[in-house]
Amino acid sequence: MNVYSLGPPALWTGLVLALYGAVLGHVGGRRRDPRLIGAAVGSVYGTAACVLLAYGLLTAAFLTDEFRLAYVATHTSRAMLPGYKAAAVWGGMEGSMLLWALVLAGYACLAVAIHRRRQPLLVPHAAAILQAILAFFLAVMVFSARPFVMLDFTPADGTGLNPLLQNHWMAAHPPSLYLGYVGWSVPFAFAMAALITGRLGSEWIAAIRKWSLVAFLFLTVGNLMGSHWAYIELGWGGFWGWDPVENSAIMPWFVGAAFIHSIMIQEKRGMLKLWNIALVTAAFALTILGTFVTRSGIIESVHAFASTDIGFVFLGFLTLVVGTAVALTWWRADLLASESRLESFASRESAFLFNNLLLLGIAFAIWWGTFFPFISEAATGQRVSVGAPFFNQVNAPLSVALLLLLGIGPVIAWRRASRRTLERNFRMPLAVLGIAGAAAALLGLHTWYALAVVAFGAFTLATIAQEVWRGTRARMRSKDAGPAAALVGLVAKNRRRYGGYTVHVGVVLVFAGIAGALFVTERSARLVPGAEMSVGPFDVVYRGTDIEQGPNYTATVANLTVAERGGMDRPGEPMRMRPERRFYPAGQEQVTTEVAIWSRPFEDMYAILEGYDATSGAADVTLIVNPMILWIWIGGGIMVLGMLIALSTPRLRVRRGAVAAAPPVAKPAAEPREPARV
Amino acid sequence: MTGVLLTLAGLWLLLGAVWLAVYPLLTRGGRAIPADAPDRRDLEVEKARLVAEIHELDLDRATGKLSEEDYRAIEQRLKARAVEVMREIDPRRG
Repeated sequence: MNVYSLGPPALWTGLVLALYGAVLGHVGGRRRDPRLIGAAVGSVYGTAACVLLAYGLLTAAFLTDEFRLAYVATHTSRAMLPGYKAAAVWGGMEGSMLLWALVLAGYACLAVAIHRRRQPLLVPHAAAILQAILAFFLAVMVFSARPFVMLDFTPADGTGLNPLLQNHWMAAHPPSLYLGYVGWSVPFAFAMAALITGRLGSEWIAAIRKWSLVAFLFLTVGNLMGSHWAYIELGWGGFWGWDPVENSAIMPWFVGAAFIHSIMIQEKRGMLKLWNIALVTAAFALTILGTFVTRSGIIESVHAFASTDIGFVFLGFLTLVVGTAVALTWWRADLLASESRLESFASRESAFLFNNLLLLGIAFAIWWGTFFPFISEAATGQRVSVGAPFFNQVNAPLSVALLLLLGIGPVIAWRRASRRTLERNFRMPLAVLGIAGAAAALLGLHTWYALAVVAFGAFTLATIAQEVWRGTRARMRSKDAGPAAALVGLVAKNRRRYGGYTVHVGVVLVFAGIAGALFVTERSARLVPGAEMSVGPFDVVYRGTDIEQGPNYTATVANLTVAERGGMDRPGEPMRMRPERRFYPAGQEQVTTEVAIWSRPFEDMYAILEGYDATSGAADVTLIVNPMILWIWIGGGIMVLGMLIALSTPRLRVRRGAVAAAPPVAKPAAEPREPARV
Repeated sequence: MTGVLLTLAGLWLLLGAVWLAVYPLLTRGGRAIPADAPDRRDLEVEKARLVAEIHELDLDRATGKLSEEDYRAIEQRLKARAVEVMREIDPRRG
């Protein structure tokens, strides 16, 4: 008996346990029967063990070149590095479904373990929903995308993984994106549990706040890694091509961002209950829609390596998910009324509502552009695609409005703000906006988008700086501390608020990086050895090519010497850049370009070897100067840091007497501290 | 030999997985969720929410986002509701 023959029984057992848990969770939750609830919870752990076993077996098969498994034989080869072999597990449909199931099973275990005591009435139903979702993925692997199909013979070698995927960013990008995608299952499951139980107050929101942040964090990291991979691997000089699969990954990000802001309104004011249910359903549904787009191949994409005919199964599942959520919402409509009303237009609630509308507007525009070929074909019989100009034109005004709101929201109080406080809080940031805008115009920025990004970005940074300074000053007074200690204490005790501001700083920097794309300079030329060319502020000399042997490829490498204009002879100045063309003989016999990048704080020099003539030694080279692009990755890193700060908020218990002991009217400003959570 | 041992270990893992799901049905079960649990839970959540909101209010005042009158009016309203909620949670405190 072969150990890999345990794979199918593991998936089957997992499927049966997931269905068992889905039924028992609902029945046990309804009857409040501890035995049934215990069995449902046990099934979550049991299913996870089965999925873990299946995943472990498949990974072992990849690492040991077990080519009797058809999936292994078609996705790896002996010459591949061990790290890429492990990553090749999710290089195709079957393995990526298994990775999805593994991540979901892991999340389900954690959610059940963490919330079983805290939210005992919601957990049985949430566990049941999570098990039902997991059952779908296991059923896909049992009946259709089977990862453990054995061949009748053992091939001498595998066909290898698509060379484009043999990149460390691509190895890390799918797991991160999946952690983000699948992460929305937990908030969705608790939302459905809240609908089923009718407990639609703050309890489910309290349960999922951090889960939403975790999903959002991983979606951010996944999208950043994906765009970085596109930048360094696809060899076209850009980081975002509005490809349908890229769009599918960014849509839940925008909806998730809206949800993270709008749940704060429900937490504090008991408003937007229906809206929040709709948003979390949309975020989860978009993750399934993204998988449908990736796997169906209904829309042409650079991710065509992942297309199969299973996409329509996902479309059916998506319909079921949305249908169930709509039916449950309809059933509980009377419990979804707001507990309070908007007190003033000048309030943070109202700023958050505008932010929600803009985020959803962007998500909708992306959805429309992505699915337009599909929609136009269904409506007129003619397939009409929209390209990057559509997405840029629609999203540019929406996104700069969003950037402005990032600055407005933090300086307005919840409930209402008086005219006097508004004047006081906006005076300095508006002055900064005016000065930054004027300075940018004087320096020669005449594109409206770039001007708006500079002015609104400066405004947002100014409001955040003002907020931090005022908070620090208040703490310096109340704690008699120095500025550094007060700042650290302020952030440590209000991590959610200041983590959020840190994310906003990162967003401003990402905007700066995106605006840099308006000023790209590009030149292409055929160069013979010793020839020179110039692009932007750089001089480039082509010195000829080398042939190099990699572990599973042969590379033609161009040697370029690059320096700032006039700096070619300065000692230590010229930079050596070596763009490559690689030939992978195994299986697909594919040629890829490996770009060379000289990254500097305010611009990247990006070199592509487009072709090579062996007889003359001439090389076809494209050189691109990308201004500000580094700030996209720096801003992304700061966003991630901010999310980690917000996530590190400790769960505080409400102290007995915390409120009762407090005097009925205000004392001098209390030390700002972290709000208690349940 | 190693393959057989690994296969047996895998089979034991699958049996363990099934056992995790079935065992709770064979026991007498844990403590049932009390009938008043939902109401109490709601009140505890609301108490925590109110305390959080009062602290946020303090921070908003400290950073100059609220006028003194608005601060006092909102704080009084929140504290009055918080005391009410605590009395409902524990009648002995009333």
